[in-house]
Amino acid sequence: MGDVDVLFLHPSTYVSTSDGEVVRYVAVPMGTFALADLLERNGYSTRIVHVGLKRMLDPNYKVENLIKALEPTLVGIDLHWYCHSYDAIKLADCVKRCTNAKVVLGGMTASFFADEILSSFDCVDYVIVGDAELPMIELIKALMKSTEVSDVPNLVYRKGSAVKRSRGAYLASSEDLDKLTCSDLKLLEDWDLYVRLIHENDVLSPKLKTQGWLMIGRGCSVNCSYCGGANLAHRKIFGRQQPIFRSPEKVAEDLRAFEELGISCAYMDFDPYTNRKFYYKLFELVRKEGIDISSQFLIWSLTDRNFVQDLKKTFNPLYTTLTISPETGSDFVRLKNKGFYYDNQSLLRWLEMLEEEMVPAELYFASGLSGETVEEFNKTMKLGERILRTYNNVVAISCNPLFLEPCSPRFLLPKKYGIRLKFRSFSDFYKTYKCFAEGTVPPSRLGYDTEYLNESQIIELSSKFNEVVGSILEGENLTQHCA
Amino acid sequence: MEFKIEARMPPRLFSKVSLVYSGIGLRYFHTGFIPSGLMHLGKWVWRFYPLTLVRLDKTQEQHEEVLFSFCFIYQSINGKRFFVTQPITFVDDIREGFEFFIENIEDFAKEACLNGVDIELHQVLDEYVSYPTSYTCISYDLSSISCNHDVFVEQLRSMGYKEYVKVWTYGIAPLDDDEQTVCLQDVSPESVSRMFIYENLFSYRSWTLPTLEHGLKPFGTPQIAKFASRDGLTEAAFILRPDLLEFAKKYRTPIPQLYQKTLGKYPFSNLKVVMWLAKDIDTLLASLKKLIHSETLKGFKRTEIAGVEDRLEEVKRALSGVGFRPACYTTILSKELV
Repeated sequence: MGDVDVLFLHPSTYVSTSDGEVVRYVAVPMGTFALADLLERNGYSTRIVHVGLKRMLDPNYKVENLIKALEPTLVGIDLHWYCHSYDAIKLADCVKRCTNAKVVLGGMTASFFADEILSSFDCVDYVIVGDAELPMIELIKALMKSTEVSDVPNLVYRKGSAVKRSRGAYLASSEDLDKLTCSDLKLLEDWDLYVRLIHENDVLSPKLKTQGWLMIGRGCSVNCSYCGGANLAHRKIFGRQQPIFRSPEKVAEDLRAFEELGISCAYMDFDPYTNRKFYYKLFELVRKEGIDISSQFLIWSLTDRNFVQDLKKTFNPLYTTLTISPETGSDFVRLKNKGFYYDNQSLLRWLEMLEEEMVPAELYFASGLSGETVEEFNKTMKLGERILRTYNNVVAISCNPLFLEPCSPRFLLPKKYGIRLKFRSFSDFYKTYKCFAEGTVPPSRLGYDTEYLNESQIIELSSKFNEVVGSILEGENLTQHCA
Repeated sequence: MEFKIEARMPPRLFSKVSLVYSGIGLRYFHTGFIPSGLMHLGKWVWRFYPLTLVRLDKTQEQHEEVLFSFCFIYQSINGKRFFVTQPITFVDDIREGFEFFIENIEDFAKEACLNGVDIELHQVLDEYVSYPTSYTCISYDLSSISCNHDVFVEQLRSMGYKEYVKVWTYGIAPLDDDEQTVCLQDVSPESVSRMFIYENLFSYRSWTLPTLEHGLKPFGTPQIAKFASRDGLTEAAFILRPDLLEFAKKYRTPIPQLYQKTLGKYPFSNLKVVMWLAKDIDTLLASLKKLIHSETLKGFKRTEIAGVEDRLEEVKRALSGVGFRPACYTTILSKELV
């Protein structure tokens, strides 16, 4: 028996560049903290280790030494985001080479490709498909008692050479989510550095704010063409038909805990309903309890003025922003791709309202959308430029090429969305990120072409957008400072 | 008790005191990271260090924010130095941890091979001091905090710090214009700045942070720039800024300059002469009277003049003579490290 029962390892994505290794995609899924806390409260000792963070702090860090020292019974590796496909497996392999611990993967990517992962990689013993709270407790219980795992709900496992699905099914309810605590960041080693990671690959630069991701609910009500967390994916992977929320009281509790941990800004990215009834209740509670924290609130659809005013009077203005992803400057392309549609005029009116209310905005665009041509993307360029020149309260704006996300509508229905898939299986994702890690050129970087644009064009368009935006901002700084 | 320093600016700072940031990268401030740096000894170093002193209670597993200061590296006439703006305290015992805080700053500055550390401390003498309250890019509403000037000065002196400069700010309500000999002319702020840097004929001038680097002093619009001339010759020049703290307090924003449309229409009460130079004291006074009179007609109720060095006794006397009253003074204490 080792020092911890369950060791959670977060795999970051390593990318070899001409300047050496860089670590990308550093966020830990919020569920990891909830699971670790839940296990602790059920009598199992746990620890969360962010392997990427360790490597940032010490390039010679060897996770093997920790695993050997702790001798965990079970190692949980999150494979929620596809970008960890290679590194999660590599980590699993590392665990197997140095201990007898069992390895379980979880998260949306692992869930979607569970059968293929277990068929292809001996270093993985189990995959939990979908919600993992009850299954994780049942799994460690079975392992500690050396009993069969076939009754552990949502579990995919190997029996001999066959891949099996367990009997039970578990779908978390709002009540279940309320039993979770997602704010005990102290379960993560180096948590005080982790909350400083507001920018990729950069833990040590001096920041104004620290940030914590807030768990508000699960699921989605709509289907954006490119999103692996869309309604379709939640139905397929979790069996969840509609989004569920935690109670405002529990979310406020986490906000209070963040404040006590010295976290300045809560990252809030769960906005599946346009009426936002939940948030009016939450905001009222936050005000009532006098919680002093900022919020980076990611809205999925345009809001009315009431919501903006309510947000403004609830959160500390220091780092409070509203973040929106219009993705494109083409109304036609937005209609084809976004679950919540709004036209450019409405977006501009909304930004104007934000300016009047003195709330800063962050905007994100993308290239590689379905139906997007070079001409349509030019509308994105023009809109981005116009917004930046018109609204000083737009404090961040950028464009990124879309990666193919497993289980996204365009992955599941490529013809409908005018996509030619280059990634179809887990191994495609695995091989691509292996190439990134080893510094070689993968056959495909994004995993698709659209009917109008190939990968190189898609990447090039985003670069062009960011160049234009960068030069405007640079010019602005020089102009502002010449006095 | 154990302390540590964390690089962050806690939200409670803004709950405690209204502030205005008007430095480089205005748009970035709300995102939590100002991407500004400089090359130093062949290496890239970050510019801004928002430092929070935290007290740790290990038995309770709790921490408490004790003090905050916004700091930055700058190229001064005395080499690259670390500048520490007015420390803002969150606890009653302001001495606690201060020495630890300063010692750690010195260690950091030594490690970074900086020439020295400069610390800005304010002593408030009037009910209100308008923006900018600092000679740097971050200004606090000094009326809502204790600056603890004397306590910090005493502690710093015991740590080997010496007064580098003492600078006064004077304020006045409407002033009669009995001087008709000076003509005021609107000019670009750049022309005043250029004159300030390159013109040696003006004997009297305001003190400003001794750096030419962009975005470390208060900057940006709105601002008013004037030349004062007699017989067609420029004899004084001024840059004035309206009191952004009024706006920051009313609208609860630390970056008023992101909202130029509303700023442009805002009926400011206070105005401050932040940069000035004059050939002689008579010209300075005549120009100021004319300037303040004309701005009063536009609705400004009170004007301040900053940057009056303590050694300029004649200027101080002259200002007092026409009714200016000291609003505050700022002491900058320095320590050389190499």
